Formats: sequence, structure tokens, C-alpha cells
Amino acid sequence: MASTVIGAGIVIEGELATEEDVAIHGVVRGKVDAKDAVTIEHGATVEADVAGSEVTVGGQLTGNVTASDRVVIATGARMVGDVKAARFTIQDGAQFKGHVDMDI
Amino acid sequence: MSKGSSGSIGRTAKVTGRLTGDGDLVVEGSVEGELSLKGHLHVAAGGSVIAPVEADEVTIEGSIDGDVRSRGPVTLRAGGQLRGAIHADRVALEDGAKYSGRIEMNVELPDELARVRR
Repeated sequence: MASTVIGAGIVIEGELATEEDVAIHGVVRGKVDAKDAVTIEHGATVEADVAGSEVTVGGQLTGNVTASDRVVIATGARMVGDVKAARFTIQDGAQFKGHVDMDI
Repeated sequence: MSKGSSGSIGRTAKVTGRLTGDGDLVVEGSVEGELSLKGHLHVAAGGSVIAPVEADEVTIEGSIDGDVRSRGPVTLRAGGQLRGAIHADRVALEDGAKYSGRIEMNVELPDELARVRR
């Protein structure tokens, strides 16, 4: 389990910053800044700019994502925003709208 | 996790702003702003909350700076620290806990004492 878990019933309006990993099942509006992996689980709603080593989007994300390693938009996910990462994967069935910067 | 909607704020995590929730929450890191929970708030040793707190039950092993309003018991454990008022019907301060503030419990006093207090 991730060191920080935002449960399905939890709403954060503000900023979440951590040196470790985060799993979001609930709602975050504001900003997410992690040094480790960030997972936006299926059913989660995030309206925030997200930074992490590896960012996986399974739920709904509105905001820009910056990852030091990779970004994955999973099947069933919806994301509107820009992505900046060395590696970027959009799985079949995911919805994505935004600009991609892979630093090439 | 005991409930589907439980959560935890990890050791190095910091939440700044408003955190509201339906479910239990363990704080090992820090929350600054406002915290309102329909569930049990557990501030673990090393955890820090700087916010007015509202919850169904509150257990403090770390520290809270702010007023605590709880529908159920508030327990301040040895090593725990609280600065702020407590509004709850059941409050336990364990030996070794640090507290400064005012405790408001709904106390049913015998008539003669109640009259004196007024």
C-alpha cells in the first residue's frame, strides 16, 4: 500500500506534497507534488497539477502532469492537460486531450 | 484499510488546505489548514495537525495545534500533544500526554452544583 492514501471519501482542497508515493481514490483540487509514484485510481477525481516520478492515471484528471520517469494513462481514464515526461503511455481505451512534451 | 474510504497521510506527506472526508484517516505526516472528518482521526506518533479539527473520534499520539470538536471520544495518549480547546462528551488524557487548552464537556451536574455554577 502507498504511504499516503487519499480514500474514496476524502476531499483535499489545497496542496499535497510528499517525499514518498501517493494513491488517490478520492478528490484532490489544488496541487499534488510527490518525489515517488503517484497513482490516480479508477473513480478518483483530481483537478490539480501533478508531479511525481511515475504518474499513473486511472481515474479523471484535469491538470498538467510532470513526471521524472513516466506517465501512464490507463484504460478507462480521462485526462485533460499537458504531459511532460521522458516516457508516456496511453493505453487502449483511455481518453486524453493535451499537449505532450517528451523532451526529444 | 478498515473501510473502503479510509486514508492515510504518510510520514513525509504534507497537506496544506482543506481536508474533508467520509471515513477514517491516519496522519503520520502533516496537515495544515482545516480538517473535517466523518470517521476516526488518528494522529500517529510523529504526525502533526495544525488546524481546527472536527471528527467522530480523535486519537492523538502525535500533535494537534487547534481546537478539536468530536462527536465521540477524544483520547490524548502518552507522548501526544494538544494545544487547543476540546469539545467532546468523552475526553481521556493519559499519563505523559501534554495538553494546554480548555475542555468543554457536557457535564450533568447535581442540581445544587449546577446552581452554584450559574
